[in-house]
Amino acid sequence: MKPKICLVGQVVTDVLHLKDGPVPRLGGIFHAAKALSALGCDFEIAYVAPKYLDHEIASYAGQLGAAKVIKIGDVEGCPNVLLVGEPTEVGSRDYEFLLDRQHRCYLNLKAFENRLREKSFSDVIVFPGGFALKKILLALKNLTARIHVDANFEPKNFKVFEALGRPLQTLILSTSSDTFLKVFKGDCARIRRAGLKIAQSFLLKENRGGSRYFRRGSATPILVPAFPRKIIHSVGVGDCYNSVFAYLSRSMPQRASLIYASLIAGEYASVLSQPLFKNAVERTMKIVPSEVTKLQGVSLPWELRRKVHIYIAAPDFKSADLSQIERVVSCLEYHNFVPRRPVVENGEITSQSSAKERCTAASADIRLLEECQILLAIPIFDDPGTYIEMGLALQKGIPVIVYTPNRITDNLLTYELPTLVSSDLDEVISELFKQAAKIHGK
Amino acid sequence: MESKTSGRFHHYEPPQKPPAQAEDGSKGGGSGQDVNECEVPLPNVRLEEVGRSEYFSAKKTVPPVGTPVQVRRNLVGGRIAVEAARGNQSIGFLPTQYNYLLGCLKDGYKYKGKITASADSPTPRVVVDLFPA
Repeated sequence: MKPKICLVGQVVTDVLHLKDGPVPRLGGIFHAAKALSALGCDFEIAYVAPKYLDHEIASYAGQLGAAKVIKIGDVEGCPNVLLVGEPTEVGSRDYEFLLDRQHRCYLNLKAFENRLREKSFSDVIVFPGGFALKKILLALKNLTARIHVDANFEPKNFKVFEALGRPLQTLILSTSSDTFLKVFKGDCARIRRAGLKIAQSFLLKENRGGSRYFRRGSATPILVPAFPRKIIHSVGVGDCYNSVFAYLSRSMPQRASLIYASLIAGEYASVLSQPLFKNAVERTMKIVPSEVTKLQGVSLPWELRRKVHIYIAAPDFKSADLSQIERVVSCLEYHNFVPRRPVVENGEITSQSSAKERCTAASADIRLLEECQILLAIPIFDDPGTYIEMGLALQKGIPVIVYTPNRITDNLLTYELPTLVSSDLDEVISELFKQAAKIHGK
Repeated sequence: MESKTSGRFHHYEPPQKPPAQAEDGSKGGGSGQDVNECEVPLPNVRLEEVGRSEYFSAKKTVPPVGTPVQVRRNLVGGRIAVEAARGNQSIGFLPTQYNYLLGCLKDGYKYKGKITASADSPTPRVVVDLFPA
């Protein structure tokens, strides 16, 4: 059967706050639609949205080549506008869904159910959130198509999937989701078991550390590297990944499909223009599967990151403005690394400290450095202690990465010897993943 | 008070003009947003695994500044290699964030340039400038 995919979910207006100003885009299931369009896949969309978007949705879906557009629900009380404050996901994403508590969705599935009765879909990808998932699953119950669900936002409880009466083909979840972090407390083994109870396969996406694809009856997951690169946004990148995988896995092995999906998701994150994205997708598909599966990237599963202790070399003093250091620490924790702050852990030495206190703190700092796998220097101002710690780490063969938010470093060796010196936190986080994966690989 | 508006949906933007030809013969670059990534020059790229490269293994030293280089079309151990234009020995790998160039290479783009910095110690290092040719 020739692949024909139906995308089911909300359409929202994403507003990305980029350097040049706000960029409003049709989001929600349109991210997946744009990927399928770029691949030349036959697809349709079944959407819920407020009325004011209907004309835009019909027009843009037509531009993308959607064979049919069916409205399955009206949203009232809420404009479905998503404000994205931190588009690159260096740390926790700063989303605001305007008037979300006023959101009311009224489903009308008649036209959708009639379409489903024609049994023309090979795959249905559902993006729950903002509508009654159970009603959609009941509508899909008698279908033979493969059902994939991206449960990144909803549901928090997988029991609802019993309504389908059979296992999903794929359950997809990200380590950034509340379901993973709060419901399953970041426990990969637990969520894998829960996922494979309701689905034939479970795809866990782990941000810049790649992804893992678990299958029923196989103890070994397929490890898919991430290919981190300079990106301009991260909104909808996961949806793009899902749809590419669902489409390609119809015609090629799962591992190759997942790697193409990862590469194409990277392309999606690095551009806003659909024609340029389409060109990039076509270029990517010119790489043959035997070559694409050899391509090296970054693979660092979530739970292994707890073994990566990162020494924060910085003037982490009470008298300083610590906001930049704390932002970095929060980003590292978001990605499940373990930042170690010597001043916080071993105490701050002042001009009033005794010789004994100084000696004890210095020894404790050096021991702490030896416990760490990477040193991240954050010279928010010229601080001799930070530079000495960098030198010590380099001498010990510990990779040194320097984040200079205020661009104050112009010392020759400070620039020449570390693995990376950058004022771009996105670049710094990617390099940390890379170095940590390298250490884990050894 | 000045208010900002966001006009209309982004997909209404007109198609991008091709980037202008730069003095060095390359085609553009710029903001890194909405340009053809294959046509963007790659200045100041620090190569990886230089100490294990074919060139360093054979000569026990890095190539001098000014050496012409090019990007090899086929992967070496899953990595994109930069090689000396004369002799075709690899001198290091592009960092993996440039993996997207593999698609560009398949699309017919070629990348050439020269070494702008190199040193044998404390670890072998090579920095190159690359341009789409």
